[in-house]
Amino acid sequence: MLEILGMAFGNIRRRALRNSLTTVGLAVFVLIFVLVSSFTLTVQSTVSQSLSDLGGEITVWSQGAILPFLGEIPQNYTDRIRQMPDVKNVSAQIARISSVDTEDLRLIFGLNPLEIHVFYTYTMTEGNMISTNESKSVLGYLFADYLKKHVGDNITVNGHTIPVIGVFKTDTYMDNVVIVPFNIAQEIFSLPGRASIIMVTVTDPTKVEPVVSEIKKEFPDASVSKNQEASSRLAPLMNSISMVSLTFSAIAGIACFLGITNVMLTGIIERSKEIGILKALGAKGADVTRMMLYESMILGTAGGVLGCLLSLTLLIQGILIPITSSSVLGIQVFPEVLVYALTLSVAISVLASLYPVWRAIRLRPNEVLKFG
Amino acid sequence: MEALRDVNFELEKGDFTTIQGPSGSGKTTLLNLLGGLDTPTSGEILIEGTDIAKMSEKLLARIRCQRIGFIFQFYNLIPKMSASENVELPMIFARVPVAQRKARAKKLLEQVGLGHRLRHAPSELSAGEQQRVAIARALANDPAIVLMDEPTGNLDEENTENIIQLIRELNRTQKRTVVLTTHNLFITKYANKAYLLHNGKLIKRKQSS
Repeated sequence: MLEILGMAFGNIRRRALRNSLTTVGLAVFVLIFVLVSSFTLTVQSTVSQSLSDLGGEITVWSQGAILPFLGEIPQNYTDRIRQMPDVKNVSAQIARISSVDTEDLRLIFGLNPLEIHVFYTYTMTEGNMISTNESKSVLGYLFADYLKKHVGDNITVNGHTIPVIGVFKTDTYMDNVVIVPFNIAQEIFSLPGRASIIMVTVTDPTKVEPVVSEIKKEFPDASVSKNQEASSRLAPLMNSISMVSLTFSAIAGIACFLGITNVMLTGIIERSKEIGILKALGAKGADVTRMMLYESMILGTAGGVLGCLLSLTLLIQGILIPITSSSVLGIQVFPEVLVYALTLSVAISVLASLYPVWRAIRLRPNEVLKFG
Repeated sequence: MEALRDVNFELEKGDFTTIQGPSGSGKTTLLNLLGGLDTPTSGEILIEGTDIAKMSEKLLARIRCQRIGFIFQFYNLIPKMSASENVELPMIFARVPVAQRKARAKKLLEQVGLGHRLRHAPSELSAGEQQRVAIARALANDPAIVLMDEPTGNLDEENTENIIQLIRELNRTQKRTVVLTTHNLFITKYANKAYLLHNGKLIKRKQSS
């Protein structure tokens, strides 16, 4: 086996240019696969994390809405939920995307000033948090930096001018949002008596499930879930993102597969005499098969390793996807994606070689060798 | 069009047999059959008592590897391998360990006068030298029989003479059984058996001890 492996290495070395190009082709496929998969997984984990950052243990939002700012529910649900056993705090909130000052779209939160500290952990870097229902706003520090706004400045949200009284920091996605009092948000977005989401906390962590069941029974038109499961609400959206990612990767993989098959078939035609000689000298079909499969495995591994190294280099240096004009999403490194990509590279290379190998072992030495 | 029909002959160990015949008479087909590169539609081919005519391709490959050496008119060396690597090839398929293989390849090439050309590729060797490498390769696994299809067909007079002398030497000193096809009448004088292939029949022209 080692001898045949040695022959495979020698064959690859002796056709350096062609095999280098095949390796680069595989590396490009791996690069595409890793970047696309890493982007998808980063989006999924970021959104999941963002949802986990939502305060409270239970979220209630509109049935069928993928995200809170895409739906609305009656605000008075809070009254009935507050009466349920084991419920500690209930807060109706508004979440909407709107232009702020310029054409820039931002997430605007309308929160009850008295309940902010219950559901969110924050520090003030400037000024104070909103504490009344007056028309005032606080900005996440990243957004404040971007707009170059400070305490005392005004912002315009959906045509409403609102003074800034504070800048906060949460170390979550909230650092890019604007917070206004709940009633002001209802005015700005014309949502009288409505909310985007209701956040609920319970008296005892073991009571989350019973409270969830109770709310579901009471409000069949609402979608109720534990915050830990909030990310599952995004399954349709995430599945769509995954499908697109998979499609891109599949197209790249198919192109790679066909390319390698073509190169190897051409190689078989060129090497038919060589294969005939080997068979005339005593090589069995199994020897020829092993030799060619080893060649494809070596190329697959080399291409996979090269592609992974290129991907890692780009990812470590940082690929930043602009989410808004002041916030970016940095694509993360997922080791399992690299391992999967390497495996896929070897698999594609080996599968692509199967038909050429079959052609090779069918060659009859006396047909391909010129005997005088 | 038929390639052979009624061929009957025997080889004894140590025979140097030449087969002459015009182009298209079936000399190459006969060698293919003897070497297990082709199978007859009828009849037997016994090599040391074993009938290879009905063997599977896998077994034929083993026979070719271990009991038969081939030398082709156009050498059929692997162009991208050195002389030494070409000679090692049959030993790779016979699973000879690498150190032993390299040592034997070196010895064989020295035997054919190419001890100083181990690392040279075929493109760096003359026609005569390439054929010598092919002879060394054919002897790699110490075969029972060496089949040569017009081994001097592509060589000039001087190289032809050198190759023939080398073959004679191998036959005489190592008692190698050699079957050689040729157009060249001159070569038959060195053989102890000579045949003419005509109309699908082998006609004995010469036999000596």
